[in-house]
Amino acid sequence: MIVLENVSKNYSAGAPAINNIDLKIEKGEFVFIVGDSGAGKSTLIKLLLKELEPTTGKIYINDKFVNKLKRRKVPYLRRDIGVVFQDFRLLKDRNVYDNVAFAQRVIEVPSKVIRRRVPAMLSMVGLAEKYRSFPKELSGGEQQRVALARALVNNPPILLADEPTGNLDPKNSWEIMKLLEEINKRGTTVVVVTHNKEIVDAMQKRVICMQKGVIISDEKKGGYIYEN
Amino acid sequence: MKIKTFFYSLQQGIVNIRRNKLYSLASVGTITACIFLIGLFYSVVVNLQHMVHNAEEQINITIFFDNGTSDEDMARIGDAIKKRVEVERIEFTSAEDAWKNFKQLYFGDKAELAEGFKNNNPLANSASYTIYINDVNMQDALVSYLESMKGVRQVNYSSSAASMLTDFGRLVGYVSAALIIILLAVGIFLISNTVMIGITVRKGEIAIMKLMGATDFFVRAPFLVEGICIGLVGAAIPLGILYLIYSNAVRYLLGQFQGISTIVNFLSVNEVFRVLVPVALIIGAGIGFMGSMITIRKKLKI
Repeated sequence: MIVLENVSKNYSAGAPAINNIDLKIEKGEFVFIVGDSGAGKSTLIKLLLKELEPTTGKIYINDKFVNKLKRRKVPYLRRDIGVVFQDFRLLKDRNVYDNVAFAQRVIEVPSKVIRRRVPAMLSMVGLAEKYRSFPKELSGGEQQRVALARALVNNPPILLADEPTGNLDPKNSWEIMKLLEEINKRGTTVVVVTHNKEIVDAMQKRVICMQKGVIISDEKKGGYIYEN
Repeated sequence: MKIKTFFYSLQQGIVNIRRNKLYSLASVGTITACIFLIGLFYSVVVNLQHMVHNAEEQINITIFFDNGTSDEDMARIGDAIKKRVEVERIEFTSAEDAWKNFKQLYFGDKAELAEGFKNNNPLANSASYTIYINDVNMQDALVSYLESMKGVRQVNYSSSAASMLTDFGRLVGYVSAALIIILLAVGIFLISNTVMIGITVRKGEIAIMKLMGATDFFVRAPFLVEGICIGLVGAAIPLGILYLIYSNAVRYLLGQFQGISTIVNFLSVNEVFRVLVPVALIIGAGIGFMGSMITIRKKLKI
């Protein structure tokens, strides 16, 4: 599903952000990627979304050779990957329904499908009642659920979550994690980049730990082993 | 492109225009000025051309022969003239024809007054060729050739009124071309800035669209629509103004120059606008397209 072979990414100066990484994530896996800031986690996500090109090495996603992907094919790669961020990135001038529908509109999904699919997704994340609310009227946890609904509405096989609980209190963090687990159980491959030691330790999933651009450990059922 | 996408782009493009009204107005204003000038100069130039063309049709050169030139020599001279590139056609007027025309013109129905000349053609040496030329600019070259011909006594040609018109038309053309190029550049620059502001305002939205897998075209189309709409509005306004000005100006000038309306005759408003409307709209849309494309290519890389 996601394969990285000897991937390095060098920015113009200094040490490489990612240094010769080999990584394989199978279909349907739930993976935590942990590490200090500067470990290369964000660079890794950008490489997967083809926002950055690797300096060396090969990246495959869903059997697509990402390095050689033509520019006009990039949007189709991204349709296979749902993304959520720490800061939610919702459109403030649109309500919950329109934020989720937006993801479908921009890939030209027929209106009929949008009208069916958006309420279903909002029900799944538990926000069916609040479809008319605007982001500023929602709590952090609720905003992240909207972001999740938006990331999943197009039914991508992969979900990337970049610090999804970074702005949330423990209760909301747990709810989001339960939701991610639920999504994973339905067959979506979930990759979560996080600092949240408590959650990583408790969930007992595969944990990949990065430091200074290299993978220092990869445990099948691990905990948050990285210590400063 | 799906119809739905077309309407989406149109709607978003109009939203963009409304979001930064001031810049959009400035862009529309510049394009209006630009296309107004294009239209104005176009109207002047086509009318000048029209007048020159009319004048050219009336302009001709007449040559007369030395006394005693034989008919064969005249025919030989005629053949030589016909071969010149400047010459459109030539007409021969024999001495008899010249007298007949003269009688008709000056004695009219009092033909008896000319009876005294019955057997003595006073225009006996007035056989001539009337030469019509292709382009008034070639007149001087042809005249000097004709004057150098053996057997040619006199070359009559009109003064260079027509070539003055041509020169004036050319000057108007150069000045307007320079002004139009400057205004086009300003128009493109302003549109590109207007679109830039639209893109900056919607940066977050665009980033999300790209992450969700929107195609390049889908992301860019609203901004292209924005530029093209501004360009089209900027073309439509001066067309309306020019239409009013032109039809009134023609009416006024024709009233003023009634006496010389054979030289001063204008193209009808429809004749001018048949060309001007599509040209102005294409230029307007073109400026809009180029202005937005410059910014889009710079700012909306996937």
